[in-house]
Amino acid sequence: MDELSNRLRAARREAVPGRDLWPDVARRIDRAGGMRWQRAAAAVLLFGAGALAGTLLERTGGGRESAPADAVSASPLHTAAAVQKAGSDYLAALARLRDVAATNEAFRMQGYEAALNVVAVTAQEVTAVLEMNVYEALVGPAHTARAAASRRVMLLTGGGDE
Amino acid sequence: MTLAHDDAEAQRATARLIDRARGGDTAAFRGLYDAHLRRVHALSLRLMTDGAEAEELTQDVFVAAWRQLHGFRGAARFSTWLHAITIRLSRQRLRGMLRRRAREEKYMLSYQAAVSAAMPAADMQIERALAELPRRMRTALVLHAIEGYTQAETAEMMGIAVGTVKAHVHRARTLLQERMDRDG
Repeated sequence: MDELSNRLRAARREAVPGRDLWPDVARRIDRAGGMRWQRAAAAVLLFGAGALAGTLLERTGGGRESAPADAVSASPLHTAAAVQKAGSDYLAALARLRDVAATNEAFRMQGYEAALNVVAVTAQEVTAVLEMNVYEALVGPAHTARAAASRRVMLLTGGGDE
Repeated sequence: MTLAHDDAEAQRATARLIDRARGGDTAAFRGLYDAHLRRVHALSLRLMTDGAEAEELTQDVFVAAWRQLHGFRGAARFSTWLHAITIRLSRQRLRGMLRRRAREEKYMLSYQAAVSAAMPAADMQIERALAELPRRMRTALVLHAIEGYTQAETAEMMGIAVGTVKAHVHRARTLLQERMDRDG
């Protein structure tokens, strides 16, 4: 091997920065992490809305009448539009639930229990698809809140032993 | 213990850190950063030929790696993946910098000072001659002759044909030799 090749091969492959770069990197990845969870939360909401719409359609039989499942899955645009519409419906339903909850504590608990269950199932789906632990980050605290809510419902209805 | 065994163990340790970092564990990502910082920074320094710009690029590389970690499939070594990100991000940063540098005649003195500080006992004649090469030739030569990547790997990282890498490396070596002969 010639001298130039030897000198190139012997050249240093490591360099030490003149300052500590980690603090800036840490600050930026914290911010990036926050944005990632915001996107994941939006995804959960959309998937949740889609699942809720699917459940409602199944209960009313509307899904079978409106379009065959194969036709829907064959049209990504149709599916995406349906999920978006269901997202709006989901938010509207939650707003109505808020109104009802003002006068009926038991219905409020039942409504939010159902809403959280939809989110829990869809968070598992999103976690699998996006390979991010959305379930633990979003549903963990939600489940804690749901468990607390269930205990309060049991107290109100006299079903609990606390 | 053999070198191959040590290398395999290091790869497994890296894989474990990657798994944890994917789950949002920043302490695990800090482990990856500590293990790869110096290799990434050496490449950044040679690509940017500017100490401060190289530090900015090195930070950008690790932030991008954090964001894209779920896309790392393990087909290449983690260090190779980081180097590929370094090459990609350096292009954008260099565009603005080269225009500014045209107005700065003394950049080579400042670059030599940065290399002396970051790479103690570096072969300054080689480093100076490398810094004077055109960007693509320098990138190809650094990746192939210094970092030890094959011409095919270099081509993939640079997004160019293998034949072009061969031509860049050949021309870069010729220019490097001429400059070193000229400088004595």
